[in-house]
Parts: sequence; C-alpha cells; structure tokens
Amino acid sequence: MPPSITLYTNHGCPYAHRAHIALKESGLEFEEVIIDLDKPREPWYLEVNPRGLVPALKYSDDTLKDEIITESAVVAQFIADVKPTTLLPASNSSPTAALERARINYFVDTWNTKIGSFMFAMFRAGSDEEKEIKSKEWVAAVQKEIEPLLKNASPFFNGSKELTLAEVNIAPFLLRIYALSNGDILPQSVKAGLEKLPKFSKWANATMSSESVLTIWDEETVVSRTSARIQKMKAQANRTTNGHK
Amino acid sequence: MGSTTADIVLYTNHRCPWAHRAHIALEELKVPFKEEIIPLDTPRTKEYLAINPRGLVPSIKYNGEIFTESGPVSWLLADAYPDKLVPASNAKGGAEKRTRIAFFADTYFTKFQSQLLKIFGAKTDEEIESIVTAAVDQVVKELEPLLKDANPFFGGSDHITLAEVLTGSFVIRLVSLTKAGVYPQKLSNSIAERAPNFWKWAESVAAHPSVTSIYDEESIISSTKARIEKARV
Repeated sequence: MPPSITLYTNHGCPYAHRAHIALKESGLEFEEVIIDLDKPREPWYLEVNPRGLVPALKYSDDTLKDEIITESAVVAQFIADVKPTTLLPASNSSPTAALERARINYFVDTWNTKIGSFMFAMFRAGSDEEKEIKSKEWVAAVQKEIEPLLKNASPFFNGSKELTLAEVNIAPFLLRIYALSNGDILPQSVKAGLEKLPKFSKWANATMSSESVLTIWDEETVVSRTSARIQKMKAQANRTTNGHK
Repeated sequence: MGSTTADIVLYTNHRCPWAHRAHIALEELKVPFKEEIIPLDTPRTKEYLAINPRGLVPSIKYNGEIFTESGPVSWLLADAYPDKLVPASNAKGGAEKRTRIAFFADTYFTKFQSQLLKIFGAKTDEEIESIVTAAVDQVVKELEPLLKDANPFFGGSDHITLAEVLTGSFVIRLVSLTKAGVYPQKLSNSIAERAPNFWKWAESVAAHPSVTSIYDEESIISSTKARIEKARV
C-alpha cells in the first residue's frame, strides 16, 4: 500500500519549496494543504505544527500513523530516505554511500551558514552604495565557499547526472537570487557576478531549469510579493525611527 | 556494509564541545583511530589550514579523505558503521528514527542552547535570572516531550545513539557546570522539577563513559567560570 502523505505548504515559501522538489523527485503522491502566511496561523494548524511554520509533512504507512515531520531540511531528508531515489544513496548501500551523503551534508551546511544570510541583509541595506558593497561580498563568498565544492559537478553535485539532495535544499534560493537581481530588489551586479563564476553558474542554471525545481515556481508572483514585503518593512522601520509604532 | 578497517585520523581538541561529538561517536563505536591535538590558544599552523581552511576542529581524515564540520562528521561515522548509533536510512522505520534524531538535535541547539549561551553576555544577576527562566521554558516546551520515551537514551534505546553523539558534549557541560555552581543551580533544579524526563536523560548521558572519556571537568569548570566573569566586568 503506498504511503499517505499530506504536505502543509505555501508556494511562496522557499523552505516549503524544498519539500515540493523532494516529493516530485520521489514520485510519491501527496495531498497539498495551503497555509495562508499573511495572517496568524489558525489553531488547527498549530496542532499540526506548534511552531506554525511551513512546510510540515503528515505521513502514514504500514508502520507509521500520522507522523508529523517539520523543519524543511529534515522533511526533505525524510522524503529522500523513505523513498530512495537518485537524490541520495541509502546510507549502507555501498562502502562509499556514507561518504557521499557526508559531502552533500557539508555542501548544504556551507550554503546555509556562509551564504544564507546575505539575502536578508541585502533587503535591509539602505543606500545603493551599501547594496553594491553587499553584492560584492555576496559574490565573493560564493566564489570562496561554493565554487570550489562544485569542481566535479556534472551538471549536479559531486558528478551526478540527476538532481541530488544538495540541489533540493539550495534550488529555491538560487531561483530567488536570480529572479530578484532585477536592479530594483537586488542589484543586477549580484546575478552578473554569479554568472562569472564558471562552475557555479553552470550548476545553478542546470538546477534552475530542472523540472522538479520548477513545479511550483511562479517568478512573477514571487518578485512582486517580495517587492511589496520590502516596501512594508521599510515603511515600518521609518515609522519606528520617527517615533511612531 | 561499513568498513571495519578504515584508516581514521581525528584532528581535535578535548576542550571543544563540537570536537567532543566525534569522540563520543568513536568511543561508542569502538573503532581505532589516530588523534592529532590541535592547540586552540594559538593561531592555526599552515599544515592544519591545508587540512581545514576554516581552521576549526574537528576534522577527520577517513581513508585519506578530509571531512570537516562536526555535524557531517558525526553522521558520517554513524553511517560508516551501520545500525550501531542510528538505523540505516533504508531499514524498516529507519528514515523516521533518523528524522526524529535530526529534529531533536536541531531543536536542542536552536531552542535551548541558543538561550543558554546568553549567560556568557549577562552583566547582572537579574539578567541571568531571566535567561535561566527562558531557557527552562524552552526545555519544558520543546525538549521534554521528545524525551518521554527515553530509556534511558533517545527513542527508548539502552545504548548511546546519534542523538547523544550530537548533544552529549553540551549535556555533560550543562550537568557538571550547574553542579559546580558555574551555571546557576536554579537552572538544574528548575529543569529537574519541570522537565523530569529531560533531566533523567541528561544525567544518564553525563555519566556515560563514551561521553566522559575526554571530559576534563576541572579545566572546563575553571575556563567557563573565567569566561562568564569576564563578561560581567
């Protein structure tokens, strides 16, 4: 009997997007419940995930009943393990499986810790000058930390011809960085700088064209909603500094 | 299918709780390894920066390949010697058990340890008081429910699991530093009272030989005391 899966999600959220990519790759069927992130979570959803965040996965099979899994990296990992595919070798499937999994683990950890915070810092940057400085720092960080780890990408991580768990985790952020580098939200120099990195740009473009990655991607909506959110953030910041609350 | 004859070199420092994770794993797995101590009080040598450009410990050389960052290193060891610290990912119930361990460890650090760390910046007793209260609230809310089936280890296990590998070095510090009064004793008393499963689990972890083997209690007590006092000046 195939497992019964419900994904609590919002298509605008890059973290929830990770779960969508993993599920598409797995071929598993699932029910989707959209959670509105523009208003406080309803009590029934806080029963599902007390943290109120998306994604959350509800999973039942012949041994598990309504198991709730939260935190996007944990959700993606669970999907990759519960239905083994080319995303990730099973941990004991070969003498090198543990090593391959560790390399993916380290790569994603490096992205999260060394690159992850730039987007939000950029949203908060004030002047165009500040933004250009941050843009250079961002590209330099990708060149230093990520480019070397992609030396054998072909086109996906660690020589893989198919998407791996590394791309599942990072793809939602690649899409956003490229789409938002429109000169309005992020400076165009971010995308321009990243495109000059030979390994990174090849890998990023292959990842961003992958069918599983694109299933829920709506660039227009993400760009306009992000723009609106930043305007709102800036307006609130101005009100606070002007003594209003 | 793991290797029984892997060549392992661990670059480490016994004072570092992150490197301590690898020690717990290796002790529990009972695999032979060579240890190279990296002094942390002086700038890293060129030789070590060639091994780990970030200059941090732990690093591990596993059959000639270097791996760094304690999380990936811990999972690597757990998977290289299957079904000892964690079930294989394709074992029956394996994916779910691994998920629970990953979520538990993530919660321990993001919800609890992050609160506790604020003690090191506290300037007054009042500040410390409120930090302690907030930290205990997180234990009660986030961690106690995840330990209700601990027996005495995570998930009902009678032996150390990857959950204890990932958190044990911080748990032993929690237990021993509250006992020594370096962390306020209100912290341990409050946890014991309001989160009894967590405290019972913590004491079992803090007493386990795989966790205590490299733990130099005296030295860690005095260096932690010094760090806290420095912030209050």
